Amino acid sequence: MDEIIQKISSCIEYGKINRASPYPPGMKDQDGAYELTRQALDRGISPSEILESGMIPAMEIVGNKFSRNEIFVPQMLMSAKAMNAAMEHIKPFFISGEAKRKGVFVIGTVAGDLHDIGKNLVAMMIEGGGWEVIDLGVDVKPDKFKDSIRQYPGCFVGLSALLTTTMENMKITVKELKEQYPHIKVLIGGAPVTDDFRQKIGADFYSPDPQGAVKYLNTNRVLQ
Amino acid sequence: MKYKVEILQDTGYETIEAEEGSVLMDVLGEKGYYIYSPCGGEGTCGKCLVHIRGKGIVAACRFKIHEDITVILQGEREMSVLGAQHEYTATMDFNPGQPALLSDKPVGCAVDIGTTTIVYYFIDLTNGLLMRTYVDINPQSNYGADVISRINRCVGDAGAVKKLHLLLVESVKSNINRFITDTGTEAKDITAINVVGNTTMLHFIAGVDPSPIAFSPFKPVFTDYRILNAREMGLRINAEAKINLLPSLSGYIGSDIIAGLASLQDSLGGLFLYTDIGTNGEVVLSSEDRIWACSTAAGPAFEGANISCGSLAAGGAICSYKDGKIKTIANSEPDGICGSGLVDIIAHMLSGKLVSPEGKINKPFVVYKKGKSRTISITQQDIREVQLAKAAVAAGINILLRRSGYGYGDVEKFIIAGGFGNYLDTGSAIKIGLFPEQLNDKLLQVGNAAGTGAVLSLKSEYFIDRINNILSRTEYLELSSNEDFMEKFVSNINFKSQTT
Repeated sequence: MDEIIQKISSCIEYGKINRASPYPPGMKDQDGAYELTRQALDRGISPSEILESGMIPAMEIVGNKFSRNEIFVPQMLMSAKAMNAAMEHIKPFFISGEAKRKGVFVIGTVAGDLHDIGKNLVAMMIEGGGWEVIDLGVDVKPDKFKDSIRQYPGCFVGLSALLTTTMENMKITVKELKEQYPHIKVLIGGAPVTDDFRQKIGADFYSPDPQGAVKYLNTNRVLQ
Repeated sequence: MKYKVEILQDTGYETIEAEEGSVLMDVLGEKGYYIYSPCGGEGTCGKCLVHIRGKGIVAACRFKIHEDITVILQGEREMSVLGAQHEYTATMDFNPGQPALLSDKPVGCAVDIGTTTIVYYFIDLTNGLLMRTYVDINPQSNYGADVISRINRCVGDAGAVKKLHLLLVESVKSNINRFITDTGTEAKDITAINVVGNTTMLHFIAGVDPSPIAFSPFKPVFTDYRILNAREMGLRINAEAKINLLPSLSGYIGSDIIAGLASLQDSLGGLFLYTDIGTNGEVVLSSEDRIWACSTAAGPAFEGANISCGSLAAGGAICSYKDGKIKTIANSEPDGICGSGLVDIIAHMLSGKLVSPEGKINKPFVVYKKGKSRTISITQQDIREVQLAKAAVAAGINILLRRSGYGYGDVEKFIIAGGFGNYLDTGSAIKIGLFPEQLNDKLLQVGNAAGTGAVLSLKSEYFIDRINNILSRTEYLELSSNEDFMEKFVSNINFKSQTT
């Protein structure tokens, strides 16, 4: 693999956003994901290669480290920010069609719940996994999810809830979506959510961490 | 006639003899047991509290010995929590108003309903003296450790609201009965019950469904002063006695916080931070004119929930850990770790580099081996829970300062109220980043200020003016919709303090 792709990969893994960023201290005054991605494109490396050989594998490492409890929220967030910085250069190629995403993932925190930290992390990890993410924000009513499903046929839907009380709204949302769109796959997550609960409410997948969701999407996308 | 007085202390026990009718404080003083008594045994300060087995908490200067007794002298820390008085407590003229007129020997009951524990203070309304203090576990605990999980039981289930309401009423009843038995007071002499608590608990005691508190926009059914009829609630006390629920600010800033703030002396002045970390972690920033308040989802980690070997602050809980030396509540064999112990242990692990600044550990940290079968230890997940809890509190402080435009340097005092805050070693709390190190020399532990506020509301009918004054000046910040919160929260998750 090209050395510069290797470098982009480490910047994302360790959360080096750009040259000016002081984090991590060990990579001070070095180019970050932002500069290196620009340089790689300028050298004629294809955006797909940067994405598939550099960015996605790096985010996978980060997601797995988080799953194993080796890193925690702040480190994962820094990696996601570095990924976003690199993505700024890649995004135009999605529009032109030169680079492709794996599919569309619609995510939101359910009605009545304003918490977005967990939801944002999942969104960033899934974007880092090569998916287009439509983030509907917090306090999202079922109708808003339905609008997105109509707009992005074949999308996956992710629901987040932090409160045991709003889990009830998660149940209502899943029911409404499934009634109208039986083939849509719904993923759920959040601190109080469990796999038992998922079975009870008829959602398709639960993961205690973002990486689980990324893996699920990657395995199931061909089926849709 | 002589009686045996058995004295139990953290450091050991001793049995001494006492004459019939002698005063407990004098008996203890002669044997060199120092009982803090600023009023000099006049019976006016209510600080010389000791615990007598089977009788509860009594004022040592007022207690006469007529039988064999066992005195449990609590550590300084326990005393300051239950003492319900402090040098920073507001001084108010004794003026109990109407309830004092309902009986010849009127007694008022102040109740502080916490999510985990309930504290009862019985006050003689002829002179304002504290007669008894009882602590009860909140009987709703079987319905979840935090307010959210209890509210969850009530969503769409009116029966659950009723059930949780009745559990609280039962606790009030049984503690009133206990008081009546212990003191020989007649039920008709109990003429007022003043209640503080978080907003959810106030809803439950009033029998009102608290569900709206848990959903955006988090609007409680009521926050104002509420008067309930004791008889209707099934309490057989004075026929005209009222149950007064002191007013709250919002769904997550209850009358416990407001009354606690109102219980502080005016002379405190200037800019001060106030926090009461229980199952929720409320943080308040008070300036001479304006006040800002928020509630952080500190989570019940510091109450022992979500921690693998976590425990309530009860007998057998490790409450302190210094250089490998374990101290438990009631000196019994370690059985679990309560909040203050947890903070000490993690501070110890940080000092010994057994946990990285990012919170990573290589293997669980063994605190105590209990026989062959069980070890009390700290797991990776426990560390993560503490990181989330302490980051929430620290971020709450950051947000209040930012909103008000003040910096750490402007803060004159940082008042730590509540049970956990009082047992907590502040050095350890700063070490783990629960409190900012910039405020190290400004920390002040004031014990159960919420309970003190409830007591003051019985002693003076004008205390409500202080409460209303605070309410009128306070702005509530909802953190779950605050844009800066995520950034502050995340930057406080690591153990090394990163933000200013």
